[in-house]
Amino acid sequence: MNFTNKKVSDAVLIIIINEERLDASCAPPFKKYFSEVVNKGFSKVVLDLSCVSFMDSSGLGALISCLKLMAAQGEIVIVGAQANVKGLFTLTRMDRLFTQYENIDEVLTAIA
Amino acid sequence: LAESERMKVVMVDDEAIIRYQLQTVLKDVDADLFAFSSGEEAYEFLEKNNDVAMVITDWVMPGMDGFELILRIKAMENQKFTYIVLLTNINDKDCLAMGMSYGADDFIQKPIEEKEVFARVYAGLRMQQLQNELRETNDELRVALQRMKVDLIAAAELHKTILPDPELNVESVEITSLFQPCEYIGGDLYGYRDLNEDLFAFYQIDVSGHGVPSALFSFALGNELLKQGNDTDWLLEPKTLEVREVHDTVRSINDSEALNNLNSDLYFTMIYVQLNRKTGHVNFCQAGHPHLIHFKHQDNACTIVGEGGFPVGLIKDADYQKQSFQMQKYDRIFMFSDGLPEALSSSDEMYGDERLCRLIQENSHLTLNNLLEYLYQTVVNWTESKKLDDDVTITAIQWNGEGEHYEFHQ
Repeated sequence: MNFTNKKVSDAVLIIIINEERLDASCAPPFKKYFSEVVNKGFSKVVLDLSCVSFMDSSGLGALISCLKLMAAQGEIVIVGAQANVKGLFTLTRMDRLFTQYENIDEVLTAIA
Repeated sequence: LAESERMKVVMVDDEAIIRYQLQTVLKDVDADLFAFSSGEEAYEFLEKNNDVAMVITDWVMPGMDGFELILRIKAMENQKFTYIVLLTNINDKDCLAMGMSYGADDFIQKPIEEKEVFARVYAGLRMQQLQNELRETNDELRVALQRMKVDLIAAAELHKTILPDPELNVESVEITSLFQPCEYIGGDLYGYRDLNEDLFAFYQIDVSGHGVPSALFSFALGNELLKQGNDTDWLLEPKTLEVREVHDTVRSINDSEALNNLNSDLYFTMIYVQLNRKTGHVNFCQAGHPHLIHFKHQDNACTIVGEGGFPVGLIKDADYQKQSFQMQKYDRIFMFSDGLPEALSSSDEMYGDERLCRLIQENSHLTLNNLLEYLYQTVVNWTESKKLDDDVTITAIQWNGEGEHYEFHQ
């Protein structure tokens, strides 16, 4: 599974999902990856979904687990969600739990 | 290797000197050697022995020659995996090609060079040994897989016992469900029941993921939903038996102990609908499930209904809303799990809600049952595969207007 991350500051971490599908086969390794890299005390995680063209219920479940994992220490924001993923976020009201941005620059400006 | 497991090597040559040479060279190979002076004798032996690993045969022999022997061996059910080495007198390329096409696996040139013979036979036997082991493992796997399939089929039958009949035709309401797990069992669930003289309730549920964990979850959930009139009846108030509002029902499921006790990462999407059979009024609560399609008989047109909502079992204390609309006589409602609109074509295009609407409009003359079959098959054809790779459930309800006699089904 292809995930990468980029540290912006001591508080902010960008995680990039380089997968077209965030589904049942991808969700468990993603959860594991997330818990490993975020364990280091970041208060804000920017999740770059611009490669993801399809997300299913398992993928969504993984994002919520990640959010629950973060709850004590901070928040997750989404960047670059494609139309399908946005549709799923609206249908399931997840747009109320994750702030969404169009691109990385927008996020970094908002955070700074 | 134990004595009984030692491999057998058959050698065939009409010249005694060659047989002797081979036996001498191969005396240290870990196999039992059997030498024959004619193809006929060797053939007789092979017919009676199932465990021959290798046949080394001369090409030119009086009577049955090497090629004919190979052909016969290839036709024998008990020598399917026998490794065949052909002895060739001359460096004849045609002979190699012909031997290969008849089914020889390797070649040894005469006059015999001792080290070469030993190396080739040793390597061939080693390969046979590895293949035997692979075959044994494969057989074990096949048996294990078969056992699991039988178990899953039995589990799927059990799972179906918590589902109502796929077709129900009660006064003023027709309802049909199509239920198609993508594996043997899946996490989809549907149900319907009368709540009182007026209200008919139906729901459809899609547990996240698919396969066995989702199915177990949905089975547990389905059993909870079937409990009527007691403390855990989510559809009716426990003591007064008053009908709960649709969003109260979904909220109480989301907050319930039963769900928390499952202690699982799984969650589900749901649509819960109450239809007033006298008036055609519909209240529903959409919890992350795809939108409803409302087919209007009079206009022969579809509307996509629903504003979305949180899935169930994902967020504690989530808030749920009631939404409403009005049905007219012979209107239809369609609920479907996301496996249907999200089915992908070979070029990765989703089927989508709009195409579903069009299908429903264009085929409104069909009975519900035939229409659902047609919808499902059309989407399967869209993917150009034999089945969809997610669980699919579709439920369709038609309201036939106010009837004169209502029967109260409890």
